Amino acid sequence: MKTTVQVSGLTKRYPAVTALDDVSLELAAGRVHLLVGPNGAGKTTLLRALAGLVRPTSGSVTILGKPFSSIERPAHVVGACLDPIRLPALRSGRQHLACLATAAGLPHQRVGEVLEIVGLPAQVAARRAGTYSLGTRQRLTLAAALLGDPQVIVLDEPTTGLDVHGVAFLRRQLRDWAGAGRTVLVASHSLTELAAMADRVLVLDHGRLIRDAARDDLDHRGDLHTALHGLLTAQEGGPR
Amino acid sequence: MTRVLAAQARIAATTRIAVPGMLAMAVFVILTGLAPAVLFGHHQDPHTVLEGGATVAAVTAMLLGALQTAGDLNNGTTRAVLLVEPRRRRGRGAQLLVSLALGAGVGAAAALLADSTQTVLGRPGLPAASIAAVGLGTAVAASLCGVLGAAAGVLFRNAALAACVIVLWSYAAEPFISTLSYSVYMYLPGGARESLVGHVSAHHYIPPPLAGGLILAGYALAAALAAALTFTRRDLA
Repeated sequence: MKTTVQVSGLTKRYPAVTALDDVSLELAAGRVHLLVGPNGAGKTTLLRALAGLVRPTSGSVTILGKPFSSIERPAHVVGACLDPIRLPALRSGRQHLACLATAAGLPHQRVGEVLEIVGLPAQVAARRAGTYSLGTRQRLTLAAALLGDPQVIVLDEPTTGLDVHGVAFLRRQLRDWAGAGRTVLVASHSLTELAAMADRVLVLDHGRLIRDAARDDLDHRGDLHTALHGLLTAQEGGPR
Repeated sequence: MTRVLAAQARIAATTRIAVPGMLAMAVFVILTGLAPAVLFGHHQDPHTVLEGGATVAAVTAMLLGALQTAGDLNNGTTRAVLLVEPRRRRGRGAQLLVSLALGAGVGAAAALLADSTQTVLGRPGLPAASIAAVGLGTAVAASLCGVLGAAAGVLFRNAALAACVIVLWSYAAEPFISTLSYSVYMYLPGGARESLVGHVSAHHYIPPPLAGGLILAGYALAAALAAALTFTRRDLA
């Protein structure tokens, strides 16, 4: 499998905490990677570093061999769905996507296409984003990530706020994206909903990558929850 | 750069603060132009009316710029744009240019409105060349103040804080400094703005409009650079 994302010695220190501590990993095309770990493990910081929002203290992230900020048409390479809570309240969902499509140099018909992909009806997309439920915000954020039909898709807690139909849609999409050769990285607490879709599981704890394994290797008894709990407990040296 | 500029223009147009801001500015300009004559029968010098409009335009442009950039940072727009166009300086540059253009529009509208209030009162106006010069000065001053405001929004990251600082600086700090030392005030943004619109004083030396424009442009450039450098190094949540 072709490596699309390479993280080397990534460290991010804030004044009070080390969010990422010398993390190195590779993500491959055609695979769904599930990033798990307890609260504060560094999952979101890792995704933000991948998307160029967080400046590493040391180490590097390259996507198709280049830092994200050096990629010529970045929307075609990486699509990131992070934190759906914050959306411009007065702009409609469609206007929000149109602004992003313009910034990415994409034709505006793409806005209608991604709205259809994520299942956002036109009348909902025409409403102000401030009126949206969390699930609708999640779909809009996902639509924004898909605007450029990217090769690498990064999702942070994508099931938050989604109803059962939304979760089912997402599960299908994860496999479809990987089947089409895309690299998918999902950070999620919803192991029961997404673990079955994953090819590899990356476990972060206290900013360190403590396991990077095929899901079947980790989940040998069919219970990823228990396997992860055991792994994290062993890491701590006792029950958590 | 063109597509980022177009995107920032679209963002400004759909943020829905520009139109209310312009309307509020128009009300202030009309009131300050008409109120002394209507309420007290005191007719101001037409040049003073235009200068009043220029001050309102400059503060409006600063507020619009600050509310746009700080609002975009807080409501996730800046982050969403960075995810599709991660070159940070390009995005900030486009945002500052949009604030510059919006400020020019605010300034031109304010000059026209301020002059119109004198026509409504049936007062003899200034010669066309003087009105054009003050109007141009107002547009240039407001456009540069738009950049100053946008930079303040990036630096403060908080729309309410940025707006408070701008209003207090423009309507309290600068007037206070002018009473202490006019020779210092004329090199501050407010003094430079007055020079740009051709303010005349019997008591103080006022630099020529070109010098005022250069001083204000220097402040705008310094603020833009500070905002760009800060933003380039900042982590975005």
